[in-house]
Amino acid sequence: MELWKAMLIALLGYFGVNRTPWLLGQAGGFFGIAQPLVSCAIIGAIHGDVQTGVMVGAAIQAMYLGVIQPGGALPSDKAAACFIGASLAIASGGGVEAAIALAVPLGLLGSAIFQLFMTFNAFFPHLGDAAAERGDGEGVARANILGTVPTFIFYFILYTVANYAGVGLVEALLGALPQSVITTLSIMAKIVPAVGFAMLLKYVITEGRGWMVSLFVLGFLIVLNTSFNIVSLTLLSIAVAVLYVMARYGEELFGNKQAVATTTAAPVEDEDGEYDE
Amino acid sequence: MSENMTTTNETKLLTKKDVRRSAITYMMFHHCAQNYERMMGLAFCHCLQKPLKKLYPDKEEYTKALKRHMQYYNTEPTIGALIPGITLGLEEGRANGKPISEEMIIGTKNALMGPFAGVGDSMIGSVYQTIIASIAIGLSAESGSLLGPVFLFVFYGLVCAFLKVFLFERGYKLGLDAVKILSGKIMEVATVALSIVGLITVGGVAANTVKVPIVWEYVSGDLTISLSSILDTIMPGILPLCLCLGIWRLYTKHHWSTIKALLVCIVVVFICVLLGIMG
Repeated sequence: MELWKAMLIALLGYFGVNRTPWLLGQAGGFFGIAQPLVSCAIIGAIHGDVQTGVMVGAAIQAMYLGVIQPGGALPSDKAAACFIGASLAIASGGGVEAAIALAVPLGLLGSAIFQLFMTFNAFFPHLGDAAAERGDGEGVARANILGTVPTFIFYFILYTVANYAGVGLVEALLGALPQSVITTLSIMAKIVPAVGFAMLLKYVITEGRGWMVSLFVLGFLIVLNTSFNIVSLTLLSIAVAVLYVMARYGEELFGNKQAVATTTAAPVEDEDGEYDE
Repeated sequence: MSENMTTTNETKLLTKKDVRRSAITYMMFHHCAQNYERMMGLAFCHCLQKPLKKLYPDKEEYTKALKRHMQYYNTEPTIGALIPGITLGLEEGRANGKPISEEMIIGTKNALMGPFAGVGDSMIGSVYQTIIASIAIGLSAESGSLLGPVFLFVFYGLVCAFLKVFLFERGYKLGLDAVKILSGKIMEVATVALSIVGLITVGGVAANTVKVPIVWEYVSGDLTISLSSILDTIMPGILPLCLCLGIWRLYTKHHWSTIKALLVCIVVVFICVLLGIMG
């Protein structure tokens, strides 16, 4: 890969790290450009093949559905999987299959680097403490912004070197790996989301709300057995949520209106004796 | 300070522009020096330092204010944008001579960050992201069209950026009222309602994404029995569903980590591939 391509991808990769302020902070960076679909489309464009980029991005994005970063932990770094793995896969012509094979190990590597930085960056609040002690607000701001410098140096060099030197290595690796390993990694692309969804279940279903897992099963069954797509399923689930909230909390939240409604409705119900039939 | 104590009329010490600048600083820099010791603590102080300087012209008060916002702080940053906003509202009240103590400001911050992390991580970081990403994948997976990436960037990235500024300013406006609203029933009802929407939708996304490709067949003469068609007869998608629920059980009952679950899956899949069960 040409050096300028490697450096451009490395720069974009740096923008996609959780800690950089450049693209509206985390929102446009880690939440925006670091999403596999977005990053791979851009990487594809740099390599001159947007469409392959988007296809690779969609496959990696699907792998990471549901994988979340609760409380500052990052179980698997999708950005490293894209800015190194997908880029090398596209450049070496390996396409979706190669990108997915690289995504699993690189995601784990990215997660290890993330934890290293989370430990190392504990240096900066102490700079901030010293500034605050002097009553120097600008110094606090400077300490926080300085926090992006090691991130830039490390990620820029890592992504540049990996992209610049990695193509031959990846080609050799993909050639040397036995078919069973490649098959395993491509099956993993469809299993990893289960690991992600399970983690999501763990965070959404809080203590004492175990019954809520039935809702996950409900959504699963609806999509598998009907022609519902995700948007229509979302609307249906909003309806279910409204029904539940009205049944459970309706009286508390809209107490008065509810009371009026029941008193006027009660006699009508009594007159309708055959209500049950 | 004593003059402020006696005047009860509320003067706004901060202009709209001050608050917006602070909100934008928060949006851009809230994760800059994220670390295990203070998490977002340094960034919290960074985004409030300018308005605090305006609120406390007295150097000693200003130093105290800076120090109280250097403490450990961690929450989900999108919905959590309300918290620095609320804090700024409280600080303004304090500078105006309202009976708001230091402990009250710190206590409010600490009391809100836990619940906001819970709701935010599960709603914005996982459910909302999963829904938007799965729609985006649907737009692009077959065609390779650019619609998916653009949709994802706008409806996840830009929406989160907007929410951070909007909620920060909203939190500032509400100040103490926000604490009253959030500690009431509303928070519980909203959490339950959003959990219902999230779980049903994510169930649907899981049905589309998780696949366990079984290829094993029993062949005896003309008779071929394929394991996957037997499983399909029992219930379509039975293996992916059991896989999701099984790993969830391992997380909650046996406290497995994600890494452990991933590694065990790799080993199991590899063995199944070698035995010819999966392919």
